[in-house]
Amino acid sequence: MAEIRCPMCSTMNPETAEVCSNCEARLTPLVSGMPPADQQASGVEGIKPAESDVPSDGDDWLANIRAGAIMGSGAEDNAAETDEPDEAAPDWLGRLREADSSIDEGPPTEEIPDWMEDFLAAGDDVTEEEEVPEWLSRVRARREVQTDAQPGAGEDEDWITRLRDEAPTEQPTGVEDLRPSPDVEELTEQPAPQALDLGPPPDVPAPTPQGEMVQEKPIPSYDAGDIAPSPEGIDDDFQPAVGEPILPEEEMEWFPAPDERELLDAEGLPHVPALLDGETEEKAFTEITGLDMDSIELPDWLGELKPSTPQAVQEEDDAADLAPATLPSWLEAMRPVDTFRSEVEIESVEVQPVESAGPLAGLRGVLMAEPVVAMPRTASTAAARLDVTERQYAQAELLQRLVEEEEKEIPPVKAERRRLPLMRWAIALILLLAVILPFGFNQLGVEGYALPSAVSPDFSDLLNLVGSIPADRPALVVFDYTPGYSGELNTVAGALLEHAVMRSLPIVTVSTRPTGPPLAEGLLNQIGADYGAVNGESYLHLGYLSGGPTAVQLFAIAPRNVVLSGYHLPESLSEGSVWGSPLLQGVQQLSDFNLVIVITAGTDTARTWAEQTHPWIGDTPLVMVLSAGAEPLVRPYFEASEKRVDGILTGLPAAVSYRQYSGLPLDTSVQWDAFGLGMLAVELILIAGGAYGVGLWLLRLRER
Amino acid sequence: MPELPLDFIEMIVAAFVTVMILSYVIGDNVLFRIATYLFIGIASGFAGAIAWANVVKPTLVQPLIDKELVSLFSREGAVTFLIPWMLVLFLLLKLSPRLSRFGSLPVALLVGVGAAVVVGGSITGTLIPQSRAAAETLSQEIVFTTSGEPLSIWLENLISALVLILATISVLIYFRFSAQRELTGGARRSRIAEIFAYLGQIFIAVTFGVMYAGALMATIVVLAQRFQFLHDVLTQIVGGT
Repeated sequence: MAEIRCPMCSTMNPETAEVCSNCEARLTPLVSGMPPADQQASGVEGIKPAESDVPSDGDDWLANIRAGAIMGSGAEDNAAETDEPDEAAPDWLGRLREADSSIDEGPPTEEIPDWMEDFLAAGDDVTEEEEVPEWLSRVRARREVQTDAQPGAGEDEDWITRLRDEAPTEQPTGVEDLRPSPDVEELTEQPAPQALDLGPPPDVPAPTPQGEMVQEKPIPSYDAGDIAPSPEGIDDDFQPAVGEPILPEEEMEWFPAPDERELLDAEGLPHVPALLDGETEEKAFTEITGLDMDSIELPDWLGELKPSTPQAVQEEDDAADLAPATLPSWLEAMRPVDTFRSEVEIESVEVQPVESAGPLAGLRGVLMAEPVVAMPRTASTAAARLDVTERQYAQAELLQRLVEEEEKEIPPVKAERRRLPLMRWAIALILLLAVILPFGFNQLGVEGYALPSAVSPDFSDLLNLVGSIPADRPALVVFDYTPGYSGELNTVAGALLEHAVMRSLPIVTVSTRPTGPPLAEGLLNQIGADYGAVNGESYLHLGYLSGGPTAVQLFAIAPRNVVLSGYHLPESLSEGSVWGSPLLQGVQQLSDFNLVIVITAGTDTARTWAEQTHPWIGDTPLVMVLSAGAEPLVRPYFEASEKRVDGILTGLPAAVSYRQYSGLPLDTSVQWDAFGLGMLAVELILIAGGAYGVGLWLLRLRER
Repeated sequence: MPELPLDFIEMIVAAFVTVMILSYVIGDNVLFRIATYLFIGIASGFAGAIAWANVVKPTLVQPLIDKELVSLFSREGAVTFLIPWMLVLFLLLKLSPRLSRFGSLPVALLVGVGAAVVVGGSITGTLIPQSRAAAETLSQEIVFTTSGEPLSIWLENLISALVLILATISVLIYFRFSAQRELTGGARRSRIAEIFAYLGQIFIAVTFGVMYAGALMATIVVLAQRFQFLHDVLTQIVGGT
């Protein structure tokens, strides 16, 4: 059984169904014997065409095409001229193809408007018959028949009258009641350009009802709902571009403007006769003929829209009877109140300026291109009210103060008079004298500072530790300080290293600083020279250990994998690996060293060695030789119940004591005196500075 | 003309550079700046040379020369040679703005491994042992006197333990920054916390004072050592020894 696809929802319905079973859209086309408007599809309900403005279905070839597209029955007449549809395609597609093919044929014989005929007559310069399409041939034949049958018909009788006679009594789909609106009536009083009547009128007022739009456009009897009524047979080059403004004074090359006499004749005017009310049109035409065209430059199609027509008056009366629009309550509640107050006053049409550009050029009362929201106006006062707390207000004041301070100009600072650094010079002089004077004590016969006598129990433990270390395995000495601390740490560590060298304890050095190896070499060369210690035999330099804490941990786990080459190796080892030295025989990990001494001036380095080596150091003691400033932060590792550090040697006093109690030569007597006197000077300077500060504080306190 | 020994020249140069540094007493001058730039330049150059000789050459270049190519692509060679080379090349891509993202891999490896090592070492080597030491400060041996122990020694140990506990707690409270919010928007710690924080501030000031005193001692030692060096140089020049 054949089925029909619903054009609205594509649901397949039986062929006999008039409405869709799904959406109830009408399936039976309304083509032949057009049913009344109330029986049309829901999509076009409410659109009520004027009775006399709509041509019959037999005259409207475009309506036939549409009907053929929907049902196919209307296109069967033209199907003979088209190709056979594909059998595989559905029926509806075939019907559509038939409808499309009918479009190519042009308008049928009966639907060619008069203006088209005139146009064809005026431009009938095609002489070759083979180039003339078939439909145009039919047009020409019809024109000849009409000329023979009705001589002078195009001269004496208005084409609108003829069309009115042919106008159907039923309305096509999609055509609304087309009557001139009051807005158009006002436009009749405006000066219009000469060429407005032949092309798309450039001064068409802003949105108007559909019927007015159709009336104003010079299109032949097409449906109002169709787009761009470009009659076939006219080359597209002869048509103006869409949206391009047409200047009134500018004569279009593609279609020169006719003179006023031709306008009055209105023979070839592209009016919309099929959409005009018959009575209105007739009256308007008679009135226009009585006008003085010298004083009024309006085209006829605008003159026909005079407001004095009875139908227009009737519409005005109807409009007055309309009830005022009311908003629903929910919409009324949503309407903003007092949030926008327009400063733009609505002026009368006569006062409003004439639009100067665009398709509405020359008209008054059009909507402004500039939106109202962009017009200058005062802000609404009651739009929003901020709830500001005291804290926010204080912060706002602070911000304002900051901004104001930023805007203030800074007064130019006067260049201070350069003052001599007398205070610096005085302190430097005191310190230099305190340090230099002891070098003359011997010549002056002055006895220097006494050597430290009190020894802490921690010091004795360190002394015993170094003195009891067996010499079968080397001691690892870490030189982790920079050359800036060599003056202090070489003196302090020198005592410990000299003790080890004196006991013939093999020493292996390493450093996590690039400048550490040369410091180790210099100090051990200096100490070894007095005891006959030789590089490569008594001590060895592993060199630079790169990688920070990670490298320290790796060195504690497997030193042979971390250190590949030594520093300043003897000639016997320069070609091979440093681990081939007899000093390092049996050393596989950190615990294989007999003693680990870390010489550093920084607390971080000391903590790194204490933390990272603890799990792998085993029973090997860890001794720290520190700068005096680093001791307070390292001592907790020494005094804890679980010791991470087994001994600390800090500062010159401890070094002197170590030398004194370890039996080392005391060659630091001059340095000890200089240190003692210098520290005394520093203490006096600090006391003087403190007294000066307290005195100033008391003076200021008294002034208050 | 007698030939000057190299050690003597070194000593003269060192003495001259020492004087140039000490000239800062009279203010910033050219001699001080020259000595500073000299020190920084030599230290940087020497560090670069040490890094090449001790790290880059033996680990990245020497294997290419000494070992066979097959051994470099073995399992052990891949770990000790190829992967380090790959990471080095990726790190060099940091120089290119377009390819710098590839250099993030070795940087991430360095940062991640370094952070893990440092944090692990801090927990096991510092945090736990120091916490235990602070907790065991007031042990039974310290609180109660033992037989034969002098009273003064017991009292000294007890006071020392109490001060240590008080200092530890007060410093920790000082670094506790959480506080109650007041109605005015500000924040204020409780009264007890304020007192302990003030005590902690005192202990911190004492610690910094001790560190400052140690730095002063180190400075005076360095100054004395430098003047002794100058004295030795002058004595050697004047005395001819």
